[in-house]
Amino acid sequence: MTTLSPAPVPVDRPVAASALPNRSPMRTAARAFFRSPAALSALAFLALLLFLAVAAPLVVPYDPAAQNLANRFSGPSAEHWLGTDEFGRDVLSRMMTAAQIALVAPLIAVGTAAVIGVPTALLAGLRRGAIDAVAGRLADAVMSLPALALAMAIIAILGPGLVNSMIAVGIAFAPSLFRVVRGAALATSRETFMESAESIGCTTRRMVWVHLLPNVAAPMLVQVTILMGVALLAEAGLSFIGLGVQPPDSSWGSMLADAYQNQFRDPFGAVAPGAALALTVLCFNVLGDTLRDVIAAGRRA
Amino acid sequence: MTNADVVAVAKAGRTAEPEPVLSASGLVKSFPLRRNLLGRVTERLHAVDGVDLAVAPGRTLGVVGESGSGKSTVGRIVARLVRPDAGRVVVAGRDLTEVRGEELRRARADLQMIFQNPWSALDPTKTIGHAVAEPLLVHGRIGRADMAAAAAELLERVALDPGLVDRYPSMLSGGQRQRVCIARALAVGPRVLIADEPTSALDLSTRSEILNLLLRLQDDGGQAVVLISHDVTTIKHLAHRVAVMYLGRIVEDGPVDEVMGDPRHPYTRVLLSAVPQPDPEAAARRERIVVAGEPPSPVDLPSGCRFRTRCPIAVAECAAVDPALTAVTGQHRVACLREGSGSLG
Repeated sequence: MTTLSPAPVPVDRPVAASALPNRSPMRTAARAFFRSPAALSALAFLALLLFLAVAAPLVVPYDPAAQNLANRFSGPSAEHWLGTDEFGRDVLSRMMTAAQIALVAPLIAVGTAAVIGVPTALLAGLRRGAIDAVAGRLADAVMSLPALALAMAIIAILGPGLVNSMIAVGIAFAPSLFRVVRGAALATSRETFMESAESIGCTTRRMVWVHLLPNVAAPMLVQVTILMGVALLAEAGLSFIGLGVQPPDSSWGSMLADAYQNQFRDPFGAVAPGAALALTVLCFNVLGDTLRDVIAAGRRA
Repeated sequence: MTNADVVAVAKAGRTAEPEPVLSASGLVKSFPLRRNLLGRVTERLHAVDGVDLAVAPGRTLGVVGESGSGKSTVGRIVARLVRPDAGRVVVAGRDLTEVRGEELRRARADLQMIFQNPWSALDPTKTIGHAVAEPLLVHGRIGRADMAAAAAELLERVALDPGLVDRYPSMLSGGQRQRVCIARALAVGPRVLIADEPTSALDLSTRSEILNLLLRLQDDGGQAVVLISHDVTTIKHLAHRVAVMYLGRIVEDGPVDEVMGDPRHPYTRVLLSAVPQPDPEAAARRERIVVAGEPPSPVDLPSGCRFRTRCPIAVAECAAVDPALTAVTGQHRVACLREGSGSLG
């Protein structure tokens, strides 16, 4: 096996193939993704949000916590573009600071869901059997409860606060991520290349991380993106009822709650946080939908 | 060199039968189909039911049979991708059915498999170079940095352009993919190669290229090969010995010339008579045997001889006695009660 005899079979040089660009399936999908105007606008909006979140301390026109009781509910003006709230705080500055929470909160929630859901799903899809049965029934049980009610029950144990409430949301979301990833992993594990990986002597760990995960990454990414939007809504909902962000910090959800309290004195108050929330969730959904479309198109090609 | 030349050279060099590097005995595998309320299996599919085989280094054993005969399951048991219900698989003196975990992982380097479908046998997210050099990486023979160089060398061995290392499987044709799979299987220098219908998913024109490549590589490396195929002609050209399977059993085996030249089991005769003949005169002269119906379900096996329901020469005794493989001449064995009792109707 060490000495090589000269090949009697002519070397197969793929002439036609070399003229075509050589791309991984992931890069092909990425190119299609960046050609979609809707996805690009959504990405641009989220990039702006990210910029505001990072740069907020430097670019806010006023200290978001500075009160000015002489100038409450001022309404939009040249000094305060989005007006002031019940304590005379600048709404625009508060909105910009809250952008941090709008991005960090979904990341904590989806991160928790991924840490719980993804490894179990990969193993359940690959090995089936007892792991799959137990994890699957557990996921069914958790999914049979309303996500927000479950999150509130978990917050009752962990205590309120942004991080705790988002971990609770993440636990409630884990089954939906589990299901998507487990389904894809199950389909992939039946492919011959997984059997081939076993037959060359790959460890289970290598089969999961090197061969299974990249092949289920596409549907997983779609689900993660859509869950980001849902998690943001959950954060807003929990902060609205006071279980999420605690004062003096503010999130768009807690700002909505304040605006609701004062809706008769300042009907304009709910517009800014409400619009920001709706737009951000819309962006996550557009991203998720576009990802799903370009991936489906890639599968057909 | 033509196909026939290669075969002639390959066969001439090895007349004496060396010690087998792969031997399997008493392989049994059934798959549960239905369970009752208590989880007890009430229906089983008997895929493989008592199969023995042995292959020496540099030799090829052809396993032939129709779909559902259990030939693929035999291959997957031998490759240790399926655990048998009973039986032993011994490769290079090590019982593969006993080892597990890390030891099994290491033992796999001795035994590699080439799969039927090259279209799904390569991970679409990995480059060709990764696919080919991965076995060396997982067995710790090379580091990550050496993968491209090792892959290029392996690709040259299967007559592929080494420039393919950074390409993805979607760019390759079926024949090219199967060569990549062969290079991957050969990377760690296995002593046993199992090829499960390696050409059935390929174009007719690519088939002979792949088969010639396998022959040449076996000549260089001296691997024992188990070639699983439903195609009698392929087996005839490539194999030294042949085992004919029917419903999970070997019904006839022996040197390929003896079995093909003088088939003794009625099923083997049926199988051979179904092969198209290129010479019309010879085709007119030979007996054509057509059997009635489909093979019986492997869930509900017939009593006695499994072939009796379709056998043109079955007698009452065949329903009562399950015939064992018995020697006809030297190494030629057949499992039939009516062996030696004339021609088929």
